[in-house]
Amino acid sequence: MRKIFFTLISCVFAIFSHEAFAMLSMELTRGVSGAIPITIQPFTIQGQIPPQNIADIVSNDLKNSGRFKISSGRADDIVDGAVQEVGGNRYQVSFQLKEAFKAKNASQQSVLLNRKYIVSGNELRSLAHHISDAIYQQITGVRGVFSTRLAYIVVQRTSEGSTKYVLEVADQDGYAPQPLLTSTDPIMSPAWSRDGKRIAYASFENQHEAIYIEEVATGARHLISEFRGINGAPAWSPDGKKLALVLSKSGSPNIYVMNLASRQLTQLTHDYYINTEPSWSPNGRSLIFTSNRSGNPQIYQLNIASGAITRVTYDGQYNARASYSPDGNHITMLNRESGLYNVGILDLDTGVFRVLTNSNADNESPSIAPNGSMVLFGTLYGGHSVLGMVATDGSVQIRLPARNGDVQDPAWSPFLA
Amino acid sequence: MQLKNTVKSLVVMGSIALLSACSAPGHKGQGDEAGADSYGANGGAQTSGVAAGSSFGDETGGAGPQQSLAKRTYYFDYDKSEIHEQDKRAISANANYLMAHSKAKIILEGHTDPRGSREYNVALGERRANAVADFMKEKRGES
Repeated sequence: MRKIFFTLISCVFAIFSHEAFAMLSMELTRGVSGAIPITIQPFTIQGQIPPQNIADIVSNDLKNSGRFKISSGRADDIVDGAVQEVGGNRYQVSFQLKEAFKAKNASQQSVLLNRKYIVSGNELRSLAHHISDAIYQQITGVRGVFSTRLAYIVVQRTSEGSTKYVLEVADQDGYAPQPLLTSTDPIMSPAWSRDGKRIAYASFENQHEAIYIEEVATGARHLISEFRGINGAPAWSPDGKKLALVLSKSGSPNIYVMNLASRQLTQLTHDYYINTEPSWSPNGRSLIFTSNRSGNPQIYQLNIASGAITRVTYDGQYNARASYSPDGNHITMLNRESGLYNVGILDLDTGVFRVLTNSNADNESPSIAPNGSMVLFGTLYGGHSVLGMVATDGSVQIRLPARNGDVQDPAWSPFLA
Repeated sequence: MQLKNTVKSLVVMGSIALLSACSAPGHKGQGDEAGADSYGANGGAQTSGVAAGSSFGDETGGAGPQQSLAKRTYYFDYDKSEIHEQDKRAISANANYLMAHSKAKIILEGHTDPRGSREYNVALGERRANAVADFMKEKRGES
């Protein structure tokens, strides 16, 4: 009975914190059936009360993954811990993860994790996410993404009719939003560098499109490409040394690769079709991209060494914005079959294609998590553009609406140090 | 030739207007797509329309020269950038006007509906604005 209840559960909650503001709120709209019950005991506190409640953050992380159910009663696993202030705004944090269900004797619990840290007050939130990652990996075997970040564009319209665009970066749970660029002109296609320290994007400031690379930590940025026409869809190579991009200076949009050190350009497609949205394979030897050479947008693969182009997608009349899963075995993309735009995933080994989103609204801009388990995308809800997440097996669905305005064009960061 | 200079098919301007439309919440778009406009859109784009003039001395005549000139929104079929036959007269009229008024400037904005891939829509919008620009350049020297 409990399992059926959890299958149908839709937890709607807003995350409020006086210390860390969340631009996006996170609502789990569908969790896996058979979510693992886990108990998170409140951490004992010694000394000054810490500015972050670690147990709460860990609970929310695990609950929002859709794969855990926070239980105050019977559970498979138990987490408890302690926070002790050690002076100078520093805290010693310890926690244990214990397995509960195997023992016949309820008081017997095998300890799976036992860790201790010393951090400063403003590192407590990051530490909580790190603890969530450790628990998640220990139990599921999959590396957690609780310490990753999201980039996205916020669009706000004033009552006077002007529009403001903000390129923003936030924690994976929506906290600690940090604006990287504010503009009265559109910003598009944010792309994280492989080390997560820089973001490339297209900006229409000064009434023409150009590609910039901006350091996330400092906000310092460099102009990368400003040719006549389109400068768009930047994509970092796996070794971080090159940027694939789209330029229409030849007369129509073609794929180019720029060596970031030398700024030398190599043109990879040489035709008059629309070619756009390049994305690198994990081994760096090929690119997949969107092209309408067959009459409507489909995904094609370009072998960089040979220049050979082969078609990848055959399901549906429209496939665009494709990118590889981290292991290179799948491609996520935007797909249109009969009217609605959905996020889909193609298994490259079997050729099987699955639609992951199933809503009454159009979706856009899929971006896969660095552990390959979830896809972040844009969608419509309640008259606003919001973000969503869906598990790559379709089992978990999350919605992330913005507190005000519209959110679009998201990008999931890589694993961060 | 003057026309080539004045018709700076600022197709990226179209992208600005396009992206404003893209961001419109709940805007589902229609089956047919809007084409080139010559009026400004929000988002800080600086535009100037065809200079309003009361003299049409250079008009070659024919039915409704003012209507032709005033028609500045051209629609395209879904995912296409070919100009409709019925728009060619209006585009020619505007091209002729530009040739006759050397100080006039226009901005061509290519639009699409906001659904689907944003990057693809920017490219399609540019293609549409280019289609109108190319047609206008072709028309120079013809009446």
